[in-house]
Amino acid sequence: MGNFFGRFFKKRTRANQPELASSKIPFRLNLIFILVGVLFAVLIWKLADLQLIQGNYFKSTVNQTNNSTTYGNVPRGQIYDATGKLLVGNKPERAITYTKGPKVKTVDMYQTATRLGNIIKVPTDRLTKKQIAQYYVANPKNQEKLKNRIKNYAQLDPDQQQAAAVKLVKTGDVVPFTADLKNKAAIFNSMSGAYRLSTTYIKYDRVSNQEVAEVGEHSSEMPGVQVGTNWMREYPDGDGIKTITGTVTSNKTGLPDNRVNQLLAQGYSQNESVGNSNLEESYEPVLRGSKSQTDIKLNSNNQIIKQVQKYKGNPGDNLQLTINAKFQSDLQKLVKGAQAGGNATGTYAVAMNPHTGGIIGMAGVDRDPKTNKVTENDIGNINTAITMGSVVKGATVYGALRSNVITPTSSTLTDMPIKNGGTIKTSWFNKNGNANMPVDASTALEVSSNSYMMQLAMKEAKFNYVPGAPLNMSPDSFNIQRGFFNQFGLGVKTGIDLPGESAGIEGPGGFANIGKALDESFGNYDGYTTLQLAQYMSTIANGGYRMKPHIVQNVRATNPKNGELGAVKNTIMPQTLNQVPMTPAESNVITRGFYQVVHGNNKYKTGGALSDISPEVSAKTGTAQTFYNGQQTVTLSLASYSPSTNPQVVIAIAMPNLPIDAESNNTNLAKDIYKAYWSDVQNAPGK
Amino acid sequence: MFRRGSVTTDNRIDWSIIFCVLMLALIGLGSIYVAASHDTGTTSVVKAVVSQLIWYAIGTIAIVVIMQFDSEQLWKLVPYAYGVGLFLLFAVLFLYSRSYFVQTGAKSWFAIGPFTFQPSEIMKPAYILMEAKVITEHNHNQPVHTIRGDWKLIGKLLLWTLPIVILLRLQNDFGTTVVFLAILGGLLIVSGISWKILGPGILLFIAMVATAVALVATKPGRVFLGHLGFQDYQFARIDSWLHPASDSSNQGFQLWQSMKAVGSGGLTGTGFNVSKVYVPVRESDMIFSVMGENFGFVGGTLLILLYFLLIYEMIKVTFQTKNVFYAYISTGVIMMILFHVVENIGMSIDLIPMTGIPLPFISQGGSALIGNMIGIGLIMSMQYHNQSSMFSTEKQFS
Repeated sequence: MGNFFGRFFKKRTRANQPELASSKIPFRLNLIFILVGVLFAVLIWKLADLQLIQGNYFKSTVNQTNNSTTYGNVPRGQIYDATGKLLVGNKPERAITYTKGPKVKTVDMYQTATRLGNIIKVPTDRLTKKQIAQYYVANPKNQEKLKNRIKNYAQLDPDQQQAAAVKLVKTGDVVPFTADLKNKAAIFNSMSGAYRLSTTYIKYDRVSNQEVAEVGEHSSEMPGVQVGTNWMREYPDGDGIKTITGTVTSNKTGLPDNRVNQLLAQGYSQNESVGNSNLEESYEPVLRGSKSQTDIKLNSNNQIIKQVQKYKGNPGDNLQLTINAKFQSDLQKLVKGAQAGGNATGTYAVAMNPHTGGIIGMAGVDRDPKTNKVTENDIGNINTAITMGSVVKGATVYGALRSNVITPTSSTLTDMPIKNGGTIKTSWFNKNGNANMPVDASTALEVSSNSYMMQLAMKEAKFNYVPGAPLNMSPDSFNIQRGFFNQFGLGVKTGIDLPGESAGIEGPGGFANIGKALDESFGNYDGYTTLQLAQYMSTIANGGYRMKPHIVQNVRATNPKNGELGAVKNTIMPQTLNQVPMTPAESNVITRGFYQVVHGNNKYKTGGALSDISPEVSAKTGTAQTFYNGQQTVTLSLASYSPSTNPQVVIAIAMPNLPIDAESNNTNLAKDIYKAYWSDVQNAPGK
Repeated sequence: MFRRGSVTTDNRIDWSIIFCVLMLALIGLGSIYVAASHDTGTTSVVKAVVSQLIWYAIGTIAIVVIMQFDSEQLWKLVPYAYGVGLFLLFAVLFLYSRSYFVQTGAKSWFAIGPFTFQPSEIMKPAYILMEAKVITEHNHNQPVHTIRGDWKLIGKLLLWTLPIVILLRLQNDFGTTVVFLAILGGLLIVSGISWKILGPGILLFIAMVATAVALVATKPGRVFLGHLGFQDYQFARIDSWLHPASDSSNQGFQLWQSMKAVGSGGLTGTGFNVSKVYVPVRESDMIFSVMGENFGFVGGTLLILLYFLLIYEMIKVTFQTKNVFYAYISTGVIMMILFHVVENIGMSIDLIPMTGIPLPFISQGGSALIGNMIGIGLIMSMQYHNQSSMFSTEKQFS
């Protein structure tokens, strides 16, 4: 080559041949130079178009800013008992949080999640295979590896490529789902689920000191990851109160599925805590407080230019309950301890202030007869309807008085077996007619006469009773009786400030079931909740006002100095749902009857066991013939108030499906409850 | 146009070219400083500027070394340069940097630790040398151009181009391929090939470009091109070029941000280091957006004029040379720089579809800079050895 070069140049030199001079190079170089000039001129022309002609348009585009608002969480309101004892508090837990920046890309999150996954361990039990695959594929290198295993990869658009890759990884063939991979995938999943500019919890439970230290140390390598605080609910007085206060959703479960859209519309974020049951749910707007608001100004690149806190936010307000924690706890123990065997399905008891409707205590257990397992269910008092038995007879008497079937001065009827066709129904003490006797309304309550109540019902329905004749009574009887019952709250919702209340169970009416109309009169047909019993008894105790039961007494602020209960912001005022019209004389018929149940002279009085309670108790017992799984059972109930002369507390008890020989379970429990009430809530008056 | 130049005997170093390159280097350092100070998350500002400075130093050494070669030595060097370049292009197919591939979709980078290197940039001057040699030999052996001879020359030139095109196709680097074709185009014109071939050739080229645009703009056309091996990302670039504001994906976003940056610069710009618009990869391919935003139309035009001055000076040197080999080399270098400038600035302002091509002497990145500096070195060696060449004649071409 060198030789050739030499020859080539030397020859030229020797020949002194000015090759360039004769070549076409100069002219063609000029052409190229013209090309340069033209191209550069085009560049400048386009530049002028962009900067001079459209300059103002671009300037205004660039100066455009976007405002967006971020919301910060505030501590949830706490719940206190009537005496100011903390029942439901907040406990700060260290948490690892992630704030998604405005420009974060999937691959950035992949990196951050991978780094964080080397430091912390998060639960992976809810992770799906798809989520694991999504994490894996979020790394473009990983996706690239799968290229050859996916059909027509190059022809797919990026979304399809990714979807195909996820599908492939999901099978588990590509990469084994190790604990480490799952851990990182769970973290990635939390990150990618977050909204931009909002903070989400990556780990909020059992964050170890080492994890906190390492996250702090490496936070610069993991943009958006921080050590933060998560507020958890705690129950200093025991978890027992949870069945009344309810629970909040955790960050992990997020918003409840059935309300998610509604809550999102209200400004909740996906993984926020929200009251999910009972008080936490019904008082959510109060407890939640208002989030802090920060206005963020973004420029046209979505970079944050300015952050201004517009509103500091307010911690949630606290609830002070009508419930007395000490009494509630005792009540729960008593109810739990009152279990009979056999087919018994539970025990429920409510203590309520008859003048205000305030619930002082409310305890219940469900029992599974098969396994003997007893489950706390205080809310069973409002959502379990039970055929209560004779306890409702006060309402039956009231109905008769209102219908002018009897009057306070003239109410005497003969207790005798009631025969309709071949069916005989009797009072408990007069099964074969040997104990026939005259009873007035109060005595009928005292001895719990079924016969008397049936006769009232027939009279109200204008049915002329002829012993042995068919019961051709108008089915209006159902409506007439239920109309009166409803006035006391039996068979209608009580209106308590808790969600999920039952209105009771109404049996089928009509002439086909006309025999049941007689059962209805002594409480052996429709089902009522224990709280309905309490409301019914309160209405009688306070002279005819059906009070709306409530469990929250006050909404109170937080004392800024010590974080304890602060000023009262709102007091739940006693609310009368309806007034039951009755004259003092009419009322007296019933209250006298209830007094005599405990303190009367008749040998058939049903509540004598309560006579040694001080202060005095007025009560009505109930016994219903019931069936559980085809086996005969007896349901015992009791509705009572005390002191008899100036009632301060109503106690209602229901014990469904006891063995058929059970008879004093209700009065025994009532005695214990009264004892606990007077010692826990207040000292007995006159003592 | 160029007339007979006058070079003083003691002026063996072309200071005006050095002036142009120095100015471009300063603009480059400033622009990288601006880009790095506004784009957090990348490397630190100091690191970005200092490493670029180091590359200028290495490039300057490359110029000095190349200037030492006279045309005879260069001539001998050609096959080795071309061979090494081709080998590197081949090797990178297997040893390419995986992370750069993920980012760019092209297998054109070596990465050894923090140091990255794109062999195709070094291939450019080697290719120029090879084609210049081929033309020189051909024209020497066949001093009189015939149509038949011209076709033979075209064949030879294409033959040396083909392996590069194939390797770049395998690397998935379309933009760089076009640079080589631009160099080839310039050399074809200067090589003296008859207008009877060039004329229809240029018309054919224009027709092909028109057809290509028509193909990419229609659905069936795209299916057809897809069968030829065109990738989705290339279509995406065309789309964002045709409708820059409507595409919020990565490609379109980058272009639209660049247009916003440049457009909002207005007549005089926002001032040094005042940037309101984030442009992805503005430290490298999108560096013109920094200049356009900070210094507006005035700054952008001055930069283009600076390039014009540089090319003017290079053409001037070419006119003064007495050596055809040099003339072809300098044409190749001019075409290389011209194409880079037009493509890079053009794509930043939505004149030309996007390809990943840096702005010479300004964009961050070592290998492109070294490639361009080698080009400058070749031009400077031309002048440096012009007077001293043992082959020089009294006469100059005119």
